[in-house]
Amino acid sequence: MSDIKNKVQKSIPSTKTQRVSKFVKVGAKVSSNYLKHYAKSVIDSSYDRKKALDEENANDVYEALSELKGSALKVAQMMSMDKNMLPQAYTDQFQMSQYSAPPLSLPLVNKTFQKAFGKAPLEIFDTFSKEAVNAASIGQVHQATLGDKTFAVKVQYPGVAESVSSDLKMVKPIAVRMVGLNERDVDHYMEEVENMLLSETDYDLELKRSISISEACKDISNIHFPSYYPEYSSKKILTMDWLEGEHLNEFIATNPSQEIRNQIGQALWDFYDFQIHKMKEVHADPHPGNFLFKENGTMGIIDFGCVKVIPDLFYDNYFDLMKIENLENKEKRTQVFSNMNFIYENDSLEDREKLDSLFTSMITILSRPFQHSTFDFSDDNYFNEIAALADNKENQKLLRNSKKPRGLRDGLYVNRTYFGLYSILHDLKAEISTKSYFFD
Amino acid sequence: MSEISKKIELSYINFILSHNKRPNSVNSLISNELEDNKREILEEYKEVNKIETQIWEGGIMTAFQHSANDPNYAEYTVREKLLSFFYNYAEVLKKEEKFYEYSANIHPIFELSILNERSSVLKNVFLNNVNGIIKSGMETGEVADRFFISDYYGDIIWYQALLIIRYCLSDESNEKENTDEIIEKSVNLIMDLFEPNFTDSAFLLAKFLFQK
Repeated sequence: MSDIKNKVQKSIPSTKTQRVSKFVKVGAKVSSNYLKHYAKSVIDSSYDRKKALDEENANDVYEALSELKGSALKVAQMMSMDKNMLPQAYTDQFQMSQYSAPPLSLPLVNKTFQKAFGKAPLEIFDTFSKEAVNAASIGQVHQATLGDKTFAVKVQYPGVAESVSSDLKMVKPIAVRMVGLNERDVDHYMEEVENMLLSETDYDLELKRSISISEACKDISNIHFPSYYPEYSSKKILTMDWLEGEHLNEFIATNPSQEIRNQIGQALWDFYDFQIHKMKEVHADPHPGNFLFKENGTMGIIDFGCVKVIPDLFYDNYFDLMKIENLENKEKRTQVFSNMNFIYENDSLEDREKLDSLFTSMITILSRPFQHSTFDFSDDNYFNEIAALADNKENQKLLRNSKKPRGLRDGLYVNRTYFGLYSILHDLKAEISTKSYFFD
Repeated sequence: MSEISKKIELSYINFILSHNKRPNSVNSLISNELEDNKREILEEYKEVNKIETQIWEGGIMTAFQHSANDPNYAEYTVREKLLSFFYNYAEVLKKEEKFYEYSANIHPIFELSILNERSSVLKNVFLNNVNGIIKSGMETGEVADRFFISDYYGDIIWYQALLIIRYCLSDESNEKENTDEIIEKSVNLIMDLFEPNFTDSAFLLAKFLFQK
């Protein structure tokens, strides 16, 4: 667990003006960093301006985002998933945001308990940690014990639901700039993000989903879920078993054997494959903070706040082209690309051809693991290939200049899920059997 | 007496809620249930205003008691003790919101003397508790003991309390969550000022320069 003792935060900026000014401050800092580093590189030619600059900017951005908490932190988490989209330095800082943000005062936690149960935490549990042991993006986690049981108690920050919409409005220009997305695309997807974030603030719903998904997935080997306790849960409080285990980076640092890596990678793959193709609803938050790895090659999975229900129509189109024969069939392909809003009827003939080849190569690359019976995710070449496709200036220009969003918004969280899954499997350097329910 | 005074307070609150005005006399508050204690009550409450003051007073006391009942209270810092009091007080206000809203907002102009009197009674109750908290903070060094200024710490928190009461009674956010936030923020601001900070170093430096 990360140590956040020395970061106790005294306030969360919560009014809109405060939050805006936070962002303005970051903007100013980032530009002054640029100036500073430009100057340094003039004086010292060996100075690696780009890297140092990215690192410093990432620090400033992280500082601001962690003070904002709530949805801004969530967006930071989402961006940190997309390693290819951001320079490495940003990614490392944002990965920090997955583990720690400054906590709220104990009297407020006690008050939240009083409101929900009419009792203070210590009147319910034998012990209750005075400080948060971990920060979730929209709440913080306290450790509690009762008898011989240890619990993780997640308490939501006040006013989170209210600030979701206004935060997103402010994150938008930053997302547009930092990630280099087209503003129209951002609008098109923002609504989806907003809905998902709002559903994450509903702990009643999370409790229901946690119980139902962990029940459905209980037969998958090498993964386990905490039990949930409705009697100690409310709209703002969620109580579950405390799971032992290490976060991804810590786990990898212990140098687990290839066998163990493969075993865990396999469990992860099976878990996601089952949800997407059997349940059609998926734990769409595969950031490393939600998995607790153990030495013996098993893994605990927590946090079902972000669950994407996959609509049938979207499912059919999205996975249709995973079958090679469909992807190679021009007629079928055109039909699906049009259904998916990848290509519009009124695009120019030239654009249509370019887009067709772009999306075809994208799908070919991304679905490659499915085309083999086993796949080695440690293969850097594979990930470089993905990065090269995303970095290709011509492709970026093509997408950026088009006046329409490309891709259905349901794809946002499904892509994110696969992206997160691939990225964790890559970090694990796992070689696994990529058998999928899809082909059954 | 406490049983009876609770009843009479309740009867006062109900009167305001159902008539949307203050009762003119204590007599109109004596229901059948209280008939037996009539003489006692009339003696205790010569003025009907006293009941209203007593309700406010009781509210403040309840909040201090509830916060002291918090199992963590003993280990709380001054900052946390104040937070805890205000959170509990916000709950008190919420419980009888309509009454407090009425009582805080509607006063006939010629009742100003009553108001002044009420406010000084309440301030005393408040300071009796808060000064103790501040003093304990000075002993541990959490609160800076400053010449002349530290005498007014209690007053500053009293004005903060008035601000929070106003804010809470007009707060329309979901479950009054905004009140929670203003409590957290204003207590943090005040404690940042009370804690030893740069002004103390500046004062010491100025004093040194002046003396030498």
